[in-house]
Amino acid sequence: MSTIDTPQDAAVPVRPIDAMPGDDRPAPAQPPTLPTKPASKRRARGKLPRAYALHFALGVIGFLLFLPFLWMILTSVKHLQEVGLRSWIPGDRGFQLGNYAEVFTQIPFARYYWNSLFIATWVTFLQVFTSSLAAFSFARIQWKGRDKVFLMYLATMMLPGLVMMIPNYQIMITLGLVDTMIGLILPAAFTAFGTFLLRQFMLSIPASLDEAAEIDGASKWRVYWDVILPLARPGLVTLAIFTFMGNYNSFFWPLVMLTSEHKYTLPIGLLAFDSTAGQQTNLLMAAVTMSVVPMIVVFVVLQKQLVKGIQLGAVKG
Amino acid sequence: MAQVTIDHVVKTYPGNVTAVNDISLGIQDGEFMVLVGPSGCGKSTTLRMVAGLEEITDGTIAIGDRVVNDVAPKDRDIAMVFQNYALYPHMTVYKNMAFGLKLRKFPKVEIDKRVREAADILGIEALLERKPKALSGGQRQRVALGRAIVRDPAVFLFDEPLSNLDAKLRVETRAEIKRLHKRLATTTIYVTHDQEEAMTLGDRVCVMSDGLIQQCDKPLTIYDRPANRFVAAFLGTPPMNFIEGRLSDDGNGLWFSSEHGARIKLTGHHAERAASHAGDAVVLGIRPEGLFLHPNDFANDTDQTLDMTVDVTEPLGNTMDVFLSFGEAQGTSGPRVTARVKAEQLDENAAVKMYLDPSKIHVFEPGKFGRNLTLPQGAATGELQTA
Repeated sequence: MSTIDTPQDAAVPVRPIDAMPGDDRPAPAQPPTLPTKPASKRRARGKLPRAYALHFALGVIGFLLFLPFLWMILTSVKHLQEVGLRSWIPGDRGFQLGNYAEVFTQIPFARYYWNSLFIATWVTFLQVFTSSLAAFSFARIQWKGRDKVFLMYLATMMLPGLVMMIPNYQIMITLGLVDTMIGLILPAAFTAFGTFLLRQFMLSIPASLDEAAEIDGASKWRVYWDVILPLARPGLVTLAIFTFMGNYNSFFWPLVMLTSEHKYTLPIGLLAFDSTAGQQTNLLMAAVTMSVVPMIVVFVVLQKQLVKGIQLGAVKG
Repeated sequence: MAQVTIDHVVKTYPGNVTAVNDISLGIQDGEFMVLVGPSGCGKSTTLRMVAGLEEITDGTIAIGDRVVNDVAPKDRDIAMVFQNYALYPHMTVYKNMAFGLKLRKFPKVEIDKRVREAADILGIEALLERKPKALSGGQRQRVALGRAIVRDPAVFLFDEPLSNLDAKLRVETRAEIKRLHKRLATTTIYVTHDQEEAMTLGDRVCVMSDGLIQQCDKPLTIYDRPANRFVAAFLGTPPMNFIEGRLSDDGNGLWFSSEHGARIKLTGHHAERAASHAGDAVVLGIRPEGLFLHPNDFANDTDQTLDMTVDVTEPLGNTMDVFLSFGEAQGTSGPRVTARVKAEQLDENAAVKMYLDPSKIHVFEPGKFGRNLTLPQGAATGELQTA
């Protein structure tokens, strides 16, 4: 006897696998589940303990990763004199929520915040834009020596950032961009890593889409803008997250470049709490807690896009 | 509306790989031309050169009266349907169909009218707001057709559009494409590796191999009068039977004989046209439906019969395929022969006499591309021709 019920018997009508012409019913988002399959149930039972074990392990790792974060938040509401205590929880002096306000009075925190967001946003935008253009060229346009140029560009990734810092700084001096926002944004507007990431992503988009668009009357720019870019969105989002976080956190280059205090970014500005004059760890942690908010927002907002995945349903496969 | 003229076109890829080797072909205004052949025969390359997706190494391609060698695909007034549909996944069906018109700056009202008309023709009005991923394979293919017809191009190009559909849907969509062509009467070039599609769809069929046109003619003409052995073997299921042997003239007529004991007398035109090859090694070709059981029903002499042994029979309902070998015992070396005959009870290993319909016999020169000697001189091969 068959273990699979016929569609007539099934509670949920099972759609025939092949849609007939004139059949305007959509293909189901997920294949309809056939009722009662003892074999698969057995398999599912076997998998359960493994799933629990996996979730437990992930939970432990997640908790360990959360600990420093927790310490940061708890320390941010401690009184300065309680910072060194063994206990993570604030002691007799209680929760010092005033620490957060204090940050704004001791340093121009809002100014640094704005500088950091301004620079990170511009760098992210420019990097995603230039990388996607370069990736489009490397992945979708045939030109002589293309792959060699790509390899050379890729090879720049092997140079450590610190090695390039001095030449970069000299260039900035020549261009007169030291101690300017543009001096922070411009060198970070191009990236071999982003180009590589997006190129690989674009290579997975079928070439026939470009050809179809070209026949439809699209210029190369239109193919890029109307076809490839929307399809590469998960790649763009990934790059945007990496770039924003990397740049928002960047310390050394701004430290080298910036001399005027009002142009400081958060990582530089926060040094004020950890100076030769003394450490104010509780204020530092309050400032850091506030400074991570944009990163969490960016991640939460974009992560949804990230997991949405590419919708390549138009092409067989 | 336009005719397409392919004139001595060559396509060579880097590394000196020749994909298309000097082909010439004239496609009439409104004609449905099918390019068919095994993979790597150059049919898709030819189509892509017409589309402008591949550069032409040598020769010219003209659409209408305009040579389009250096014209961009978008300016060639063509529309193409791809094997994988190539729908834009992030756009709705409506936007997919409207995209080409939008880029050509058609007014919105006109775009809407055309999209709805095409959707009506193809029966996909209800799908206009869906995205491709919510469509079945057949529906996607119809959207791809719709995207092509809204543009009302001079030439339709189809690149194996049915390959990704299952057998049943393929037959139905095939009929739909044929209906569509009847209705729109747009010049069409259709590439496929499926001989059945080629036979059923084409006004004319071009059989290609090794970058060359082997024969280009009406489907039934190609089937009944293949120009060479390749064409004969490519079209037809089960394929044509080939028996190697020699022609000889004994004063009493022209005979074909093989070392396995076949001895067949050629008659009529066949004998006349092949007469000059008496004494030559040749290959006799006969389609499975040209063979019959019970020779006595057809002729009383034994001039066109073969003594054979039944290996296997495959019943197909009212007909059956009989796989035969020469000689008496199964497994005897020598060519296998397939016959498609009326269904009847037949024992395996039975000795049978097979009758060959003399009007369905072909005689080829030896070799993969051996010329058909039973055709009139100058029969259609690869020359530039217009129907």
